[in-house]
Amino acid sequence: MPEPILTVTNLVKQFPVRTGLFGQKTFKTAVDDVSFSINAGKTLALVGESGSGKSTVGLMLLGLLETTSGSVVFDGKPVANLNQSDSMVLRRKMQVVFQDPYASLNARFTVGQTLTEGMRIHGLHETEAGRLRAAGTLLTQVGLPENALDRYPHEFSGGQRQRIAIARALSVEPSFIVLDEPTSALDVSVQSQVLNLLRKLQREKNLTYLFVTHDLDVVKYLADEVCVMEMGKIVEQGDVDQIFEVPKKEYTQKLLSAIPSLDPASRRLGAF
Amino acid sequence: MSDVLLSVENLKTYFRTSRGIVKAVDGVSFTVEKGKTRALVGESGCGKSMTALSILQLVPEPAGYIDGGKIVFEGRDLLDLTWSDMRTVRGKDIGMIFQEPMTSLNPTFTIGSQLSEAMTIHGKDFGTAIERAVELLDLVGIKDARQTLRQYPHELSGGMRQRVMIAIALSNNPKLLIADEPTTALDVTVQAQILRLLKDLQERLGMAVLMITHNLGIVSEIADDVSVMYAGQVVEESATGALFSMPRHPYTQGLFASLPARNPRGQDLETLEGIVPDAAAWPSGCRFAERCKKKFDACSVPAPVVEGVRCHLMVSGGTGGVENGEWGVGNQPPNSPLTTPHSPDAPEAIDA
Amino acid sequence: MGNPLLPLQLWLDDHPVLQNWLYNLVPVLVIVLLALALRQGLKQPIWAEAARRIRRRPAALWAIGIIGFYGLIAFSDSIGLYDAKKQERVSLLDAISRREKERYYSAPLATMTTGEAFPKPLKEKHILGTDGKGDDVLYQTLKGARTAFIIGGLTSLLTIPVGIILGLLSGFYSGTKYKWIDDLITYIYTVISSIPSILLQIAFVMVLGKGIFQICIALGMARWVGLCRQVRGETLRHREREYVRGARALGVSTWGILTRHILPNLLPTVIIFTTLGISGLILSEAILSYLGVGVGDGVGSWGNMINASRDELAREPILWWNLASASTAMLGIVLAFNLLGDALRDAIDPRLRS
Repeated sequence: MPEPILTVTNLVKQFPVRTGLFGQKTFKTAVDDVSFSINAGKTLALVGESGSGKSTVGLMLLGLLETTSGSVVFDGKPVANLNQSDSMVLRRKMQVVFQDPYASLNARFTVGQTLTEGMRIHGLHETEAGRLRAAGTLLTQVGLPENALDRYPHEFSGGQRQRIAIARALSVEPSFIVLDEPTSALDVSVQSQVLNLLRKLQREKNLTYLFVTHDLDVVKYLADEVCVMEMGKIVEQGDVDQIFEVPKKEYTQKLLSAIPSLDPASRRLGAF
Repeated sequence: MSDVLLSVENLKTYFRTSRGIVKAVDGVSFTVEKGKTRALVGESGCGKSMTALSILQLVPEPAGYIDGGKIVFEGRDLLDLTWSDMRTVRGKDIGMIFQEPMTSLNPTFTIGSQLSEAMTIHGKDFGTAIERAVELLDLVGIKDARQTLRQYPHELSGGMRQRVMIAIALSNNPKLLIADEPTTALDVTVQAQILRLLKDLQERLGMAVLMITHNLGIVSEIADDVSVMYAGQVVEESATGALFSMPRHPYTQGLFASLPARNPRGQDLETLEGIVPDAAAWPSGCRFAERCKKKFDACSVPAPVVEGVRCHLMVSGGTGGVENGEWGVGNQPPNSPLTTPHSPDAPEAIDA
Repeated sequence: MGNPLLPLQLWLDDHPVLQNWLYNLVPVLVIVLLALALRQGLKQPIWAEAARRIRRRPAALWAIGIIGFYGLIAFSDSIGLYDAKKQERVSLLDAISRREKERYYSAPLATMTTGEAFPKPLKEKHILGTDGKGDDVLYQTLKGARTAFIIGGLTSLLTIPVGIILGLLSGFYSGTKYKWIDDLITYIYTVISSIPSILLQIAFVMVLGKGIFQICIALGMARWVGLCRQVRGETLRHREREYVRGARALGVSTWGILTRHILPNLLPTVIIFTTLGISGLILSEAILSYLGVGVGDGVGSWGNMINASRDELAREPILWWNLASASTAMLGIVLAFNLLGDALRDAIDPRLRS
């Protein structure tokens, strides 16, 4: 039995909402008692529609959003209540790739600056020259030419930017990456390139992915395990084959039946 | 063919930019038949949305302009119409819905006033317009229609807003509905509802639909005919069933092969390497050649259109499933592309 | 409370030659720094692209030309030599364009005084005539340029750091654990902006006294609010962008996020605000001087000229030429800064770009 690299237990996130004339505080529960774990080197897909809280879970795991309650254990250490040096190591080990390739890179940084920033903060590689060399290697790994180091994000297409964002995540040698809809903004032909890249990197570096998405076709192709979320709760979780072949919960079935068929002879939605 | 409602012939929509003339739509031809659905499918930047906007002459001016071609709707060329005649066509004969239902509705007016406005513009009095508005909201599946009329756009969910947009587009019984990525901003379950609604409405009202999308699943679900666009041109056009069972253009083949749903787990996806060429400088030869796995010598000149496919392989009898003309429109010999009825623009010399 | 730099000034007054060279150094330094900043900025492709867009707009080029012309006048009025005999500093502009005081007023290009029962020949030629006291109008108008630039530049220099720092903090901490920072800053600027700015400025001049430096502080007190508000909004927008989240995931500190990531992305907003703001500052100075709470007598300023011409408009014949000269000079520079600001906005405002 392999040890899970990440265990999430009873995670809750409430956002305060002020209502009424005098701003009475009420709470909106975005994530409601979510628990799951991921084994090293595997991909867990967090599937749901907008407002299901799937992205909020990702942000909380990364420490980008405070949790209301619940615990996250990464690599045997609880993510909350860490002293400064421990949390820096954790930060390094957990990275993120976002959906929008146009918003996810700082337009005023060259690719080289983007890739070396994290290395410098975490003291990876001895010299600036060494860091730039490492950044160059990263670029080749994600399928971009090394001379891209001196260029700015606006000189790249959406798919290329997403490769740069992946390289940035990899720059601090993480073992776990949250992929927040990394291919939703990309065209089909570019999506397949990026998915292949993610698979290749997972194999080579034994990465663990939390794949946050609404695209069930991609989940079926890429994920090992699936958590289906609806309105902040996990309604069903399990092995990818089990979820797609024998979905138990009504909501999962509804989601699956809503995917457009790719065979015009067996249309799903046309049937009344 | 008397049942052709809209026929776009050799449409060219260009943009003046600082980088020169961008030929966003460069010789596009297709037809929409009465009561049928035609899908224009392609990736971002292929010109599909600009084609849709060109039909209603809503191309962003002054940078954009229609350089040539014909848009024949019910026997009239829309490009010859006066500005005020064109206004009648918009909204009355042809309705349009857009991708983003939030920004397509004015946030400061109620649903009722926006719905009735669409009708009073085209000559209905206010009372009838409101009655009709209730009818329309019922039609698009909004349960509490009278209540909804009093609401503002932000009080509705994305799916509800898109239903309202459809109701507005339908308010004057258009013969053609142009839907530009109508479900891209919506969740899958809501997308399914909207697609089902469109299909249902089409059957009940007998209108034709021009569906602009990048999603092959949507094409498969609701289209009768498909035109696949790449780099400002239609590269393949055929019936939906034929396209999905056997795509003929290398681009379409590559597109299908790269779908995760069509690939087994644990194997790399098929990919189309490279990126779409720069619209300000399309390649002088076949525009897909650079990314094409079946590229050969002939590809350095513009490809002819044979049986609805813009590819040199169709001429020289390559591997693209060309031999049998069973989905083709006519049965011309492969070496006479000039006579293909669906391609009036076929062997045009493309200016570099 | 007087001029805070008074002790230094008194000491320098005892060493006039040294004082003169110190004064000469300032405008040269300003120009060198501006040129360096421009050169450095144009190395970045984003700014180089903006420069290309501006170069394509004739109105913007005209505006730059006009600002350059005024700048040249202001510069020539800022460098000079100490005249030991007269015991005063003579600027380059003084040397070129100072005219002797006449006994009475005269119309533009006139050779005799105007309006006297027995016109007397003038000592010198006055292209724009002389005012009621017999002072050359052209010389006074030219002297106003330096004041305008100092008011515009110094006030901006005072407001930019305040506006940026407070705006950044306020935007960054809005809605977080430290939201009291945002609440406090927002409270302060809401209070300030609810006081009519002209009253606020007059109040400050009353306390600080007249003078260029004091005017700059008074104007700045009201101006930082607008910048702060804009910077806060932009910071809020950028804070939620994914590149900032990505940087936080990398472990970048709050300081690093604010200075390296968000701040450079605010520069367009700040530059546009400043350029468009300068014309407002020049007009405000004129209004304050007109109300008699301005830069003070003895300092050449268009506001002072307009104030002085107030009484003279009642004369017969009307002395319109000094009012017209001051107004036209002001119109030119205000228009130029507005045109340049609009062109800059079109060229670099991120919100106008898709």
